[in-house]
Amino acid sequence: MYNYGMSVAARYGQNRQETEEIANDGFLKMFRNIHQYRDQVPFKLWLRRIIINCGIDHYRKRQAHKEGIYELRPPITYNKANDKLEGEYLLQLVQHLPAQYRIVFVLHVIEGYSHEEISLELGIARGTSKSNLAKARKKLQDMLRIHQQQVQGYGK
Amino acid sequence: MESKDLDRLFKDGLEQEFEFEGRTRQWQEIAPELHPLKRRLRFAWWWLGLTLVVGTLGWQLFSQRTLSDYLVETAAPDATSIEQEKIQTSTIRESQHKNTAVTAKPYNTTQEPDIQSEPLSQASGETLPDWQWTVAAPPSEAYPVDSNSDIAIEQISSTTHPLNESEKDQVYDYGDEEKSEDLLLPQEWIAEQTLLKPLASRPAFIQALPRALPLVINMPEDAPTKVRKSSGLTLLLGRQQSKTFDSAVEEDIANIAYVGLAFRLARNWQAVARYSQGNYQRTTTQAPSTYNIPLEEVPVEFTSPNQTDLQYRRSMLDVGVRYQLPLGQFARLNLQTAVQLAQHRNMQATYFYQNIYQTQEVEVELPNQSWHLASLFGGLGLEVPLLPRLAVTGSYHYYRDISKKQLRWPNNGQLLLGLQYQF
Repeated sequence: MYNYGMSVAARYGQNRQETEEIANDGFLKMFRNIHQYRDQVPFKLWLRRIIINCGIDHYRKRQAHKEGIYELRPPITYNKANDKLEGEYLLQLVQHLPAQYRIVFVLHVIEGYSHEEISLELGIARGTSKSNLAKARKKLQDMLRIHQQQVQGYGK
Repeated sequence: MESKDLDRLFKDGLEQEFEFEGRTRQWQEIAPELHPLKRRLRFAWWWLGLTLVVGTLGWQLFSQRTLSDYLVETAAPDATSIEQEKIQTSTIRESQHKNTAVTAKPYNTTQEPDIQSEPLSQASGETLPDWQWTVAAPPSEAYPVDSNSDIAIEQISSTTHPLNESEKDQVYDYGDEEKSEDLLLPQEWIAEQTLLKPLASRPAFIQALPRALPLVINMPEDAPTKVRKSSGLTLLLGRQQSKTFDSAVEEDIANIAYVGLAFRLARNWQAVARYSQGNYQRTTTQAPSTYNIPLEEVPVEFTSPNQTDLQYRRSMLDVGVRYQLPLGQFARLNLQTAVQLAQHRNMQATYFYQNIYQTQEVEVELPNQSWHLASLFGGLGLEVPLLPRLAVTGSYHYYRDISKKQLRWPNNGQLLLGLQYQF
């Protein structure tokens, strides 16, 4: 369950520290509201929902204090000999996206939110949501292209 | 790479669970506490049942009377009759008094001596055989214990009753040995009479014994212990929990009440009918067709739901036979086989459709399902007496679904815990 919670939180955090922060907030909320849990929903889905909300809260707080935050992104590590795109590598790519792109990409692509829902949750315009999603995709494609080139270069 | 492919690549990649070092062990310690109330309630029920069974067994081991009342026909119906006459029997004292006039002819039981008017030896018109004599035991303070004559003392708890006030006031003078000899009865003869003859045909002199006289009831050591014959009708009450053996099905295990009747068919055979009904909730990630769950209102862009939640009310009627096998003096094993008729009502299905772009939830109310032959089952149970007519029962049933209708869960187990009362 811990790994599951951390895996969900990792999509919203930029590094391990932020991921743990989001996950801890989520687990704390879960324990405090365990009495509200109903059997109609699988427990994992309920926990996931809580952590997503914590991820959104984390993003909002981050945006409110944007000026003082230095974005610390860990270097992307991958096996150049392995052309298979593994989950951990893809997670690193997502974490390398700027926060405003990352949150839209994750909410829309992974969690299935519509742009209307994203605009309501994040307090941004619908057009901004679409634009951020397009930029996120563009950046990810660029990173994947670089990866592909490095893999091919390693083979020569 | 197109946006759609990119999205699918990342969705598939990020949906998996990653390994994070460091906190897993701590989490494993915390995780069991996530559902404290639910877990405790569920286990509390089984602990209660287990405690009841263990307590009953323990109690029975120390309660010979209740046990013998319930399970064992001591083959001495007159012992009970004598008990009903409130004849106080607390000890057996075997006396080695022997009749001086020895005869090889056994005692003629057809002649019923009248000890009210004459001594036994005169009333019978014969001398008594050279058997051991049994003397009715007087209170110890009134009867001088002779080490030569009293060789054994044992208690028959099944015929022991406290004296009532009037009986306590009665005083018998056993001081005169001549008088007490009139009350001497051959041990084997009494045992034979009490074992084989009903009260009405007992000799008058036994009926005429003082009410508070300690009468010897010698229980033969090799008396056959029989399981008490089942009465015509038995009432069954209790609770049951069902579980389906399918890893793709998650369920909120229903804990529901049952009521039933059992009728005696033959010596150890009973016909059993048991009724129960309760609310069930099951979730499956398999295709609904696997369990004959009807699929309705499917969104255009989907073919099959990723998850189906089902809530329904199921009424069940089990009709079958059971064979009762005595397990010594302490319990009885029940082997049962039956068919189950079922009815489904208030069926609500929620289908969750999910793809890379969206999640869609469809709620549908399904039509009721009338009574139908649902499954076959075999079961094994244990029955432990609490009181002469009341027993606690626990059993496990394995169900095999044979229905071709809706909601077909192939393999199910059921645990039952309850009470049964024999009329």
